[in-house]
Amino acid sequence: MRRLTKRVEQPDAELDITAFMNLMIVLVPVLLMSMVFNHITVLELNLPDLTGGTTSDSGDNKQLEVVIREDDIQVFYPSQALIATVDKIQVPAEDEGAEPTISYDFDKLSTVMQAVKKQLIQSDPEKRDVLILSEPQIDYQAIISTMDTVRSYTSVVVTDVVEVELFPSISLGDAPEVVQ
Amino acid sequence: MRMSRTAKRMSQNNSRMKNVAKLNLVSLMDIFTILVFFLLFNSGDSEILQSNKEIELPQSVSEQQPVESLIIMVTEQEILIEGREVVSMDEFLAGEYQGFTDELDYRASKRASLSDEENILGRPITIMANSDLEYTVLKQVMAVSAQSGYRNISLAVSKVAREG
Repeated sequence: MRRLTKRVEQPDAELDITAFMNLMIVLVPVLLMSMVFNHITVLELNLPDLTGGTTSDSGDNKQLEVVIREDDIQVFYPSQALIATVDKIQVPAEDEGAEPTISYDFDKLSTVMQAVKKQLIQSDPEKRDVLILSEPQIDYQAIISTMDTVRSYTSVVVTDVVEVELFPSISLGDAPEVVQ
Repeated sequence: MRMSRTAKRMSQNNSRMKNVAKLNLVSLMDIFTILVFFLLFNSGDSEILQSNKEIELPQSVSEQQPVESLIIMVTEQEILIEGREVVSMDEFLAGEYQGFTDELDYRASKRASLSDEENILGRPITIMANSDLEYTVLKQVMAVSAQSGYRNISLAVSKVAREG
């Protein structure tokens, strides 16, 4: 009886993972090197045909214009008819103690554009084009941010965040002189 | 030779515990496996646009992937086409950008036949420029390239997550 219960002590089964470790050690640096830290994407522009005459003034195609001025953004629809002005706001600096920066209020611009879109849905549901007019000294980042804002906005539907299209067909142009 | 008590005990212990010390690799393997999968999904496709240290692209939430096209880089000192300097910024601002136009025309002439899409939209071009570039310069760059038939303009931006 005693002999039956006695167990032979077996050494633990050892898994040979050397090959696997070698693979990992090679794979990890290779993938780390190919990893991209900043993704570059593009924004498509819809350049008006430079050769032809102006088409924006044709009666049935009312132009939606967003004018980026030095100290505010104006929204015109149709052109010449000002419907909203978005002033600059103070943005508290991220670093403590730093001066707050003054920048365009893109959130408000987004709200304005959404209202415009909502109004246009009845009269012109196909409208996707917008003209962004900038003053000469406006910097590139402001133009890009404005393009982002007028292109689409995000909305929460139940639990999903969805991107809702506004006016994705964007043209650039010069801002008209301010009439004093 | 007479051994000290400690040495005796150590040799006894040694003979008693025959089995070799084992390396515990489980957690290492775990982390490697996770890392490999994380990197596999993140490395993604080969980038068409190479980021350049001289250019700090503006930030945008655009998701659109770049397509293969002619790349114009606008740095503070010069304008480069496919990495080759064609005109310095001073000359460009002074309106002497013959080299720029010539290079664009040469590139266009090398590929004379256009696809249907290119016939409508114009030749594709991607502009990479600093985020603090003034609109006038940007406009001029676009105007010059549009004159050479490169009208399908994409603006390269650095992707950031949408706020909120």
